[in-house]
Amino acid sequence: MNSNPLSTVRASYRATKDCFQIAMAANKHPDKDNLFVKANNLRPLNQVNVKQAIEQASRESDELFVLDIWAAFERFARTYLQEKGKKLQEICPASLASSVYVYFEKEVEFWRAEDILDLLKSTLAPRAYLIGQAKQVLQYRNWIAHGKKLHKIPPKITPVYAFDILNEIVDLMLLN
Amino acid sequence: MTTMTDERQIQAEEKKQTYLKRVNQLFGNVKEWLKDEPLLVEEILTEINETIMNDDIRDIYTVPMIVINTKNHEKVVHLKPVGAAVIVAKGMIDIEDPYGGREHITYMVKDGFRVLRKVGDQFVEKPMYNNVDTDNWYWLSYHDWHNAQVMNKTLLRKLIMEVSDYEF
Repeated sequence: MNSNPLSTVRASYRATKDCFQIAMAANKHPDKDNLFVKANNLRPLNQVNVKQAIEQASRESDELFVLDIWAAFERFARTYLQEKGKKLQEICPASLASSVYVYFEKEVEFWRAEDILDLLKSTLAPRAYLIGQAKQVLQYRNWIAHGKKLHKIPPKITPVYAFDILNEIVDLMLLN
Repeated sequence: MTTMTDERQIQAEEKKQTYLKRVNQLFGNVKEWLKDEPLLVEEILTEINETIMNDDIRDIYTVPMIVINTKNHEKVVHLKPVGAAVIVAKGMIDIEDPYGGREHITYMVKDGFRVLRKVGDQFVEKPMYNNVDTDNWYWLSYHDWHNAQVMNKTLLRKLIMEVSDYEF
């Protein structure tokens, strides 16, 4: 809880993108057949089809990164609230304290993500606008997760912007 | 009497028109930057379908798109506007090749996204992205994403080579 978990997700994403770059270079290499010897799915394809397959996978990795970074953010926020709520264990009478906290800790897992963001808003002042942006990241995440409906396209987002908004919120939460 | 919905419709229209103006400015530059290259640069029209204001105002509108081919009419890349509604930025254009390769170019404003950083015992406000000295179109590389690169002739050539197999 004392460290920001999002950097690890970003490192994995960058490594994945590097792998795509390596695969793209290998696809144009004169020794392509040997370089693709363990790539059972790509090896039978011609150079153009390999390029298409890699580009498609690269696009999907961008979308999956937004899902992944959101999941890491949401887990962080729920755990943060559960940690902060530990003060409930100090209320009187003590017999009530332990049961109230157990209930609170369990319930936090079911709170709506939008409500959690609203709870954090005053903590982030004067940067409460980040919550509005995080809601847009959530909207985009939901659009991806629910099959990208064509008639309900949310505002566009890039992996960079999704990361930077959520990362900034986590950094500010860790200051409190 | 102007209602809240009318006002938001007006704001949405202004947002769209500002975006179109910026797209046209960049496309004018792109044509100029490539005029001496052995490439065919053509402007065609396409459609954008987007939620232009948060969750409630949607729009479908026509935008220009730049198609870049070799003199032999082989496709190199196209520059396709994708929308005015972008989180953090003020608009986006994708540069794509026919196989699905893609990079995003976004319009960023000076004094846009600012962050708090701890320097010694004090918190200092600074821009999230370096080098955003003017309102302009920028590219953020996935491995060096806090150093924004402004769109110019050199970067355009680099992005065309990054996205496609074309070499200058």
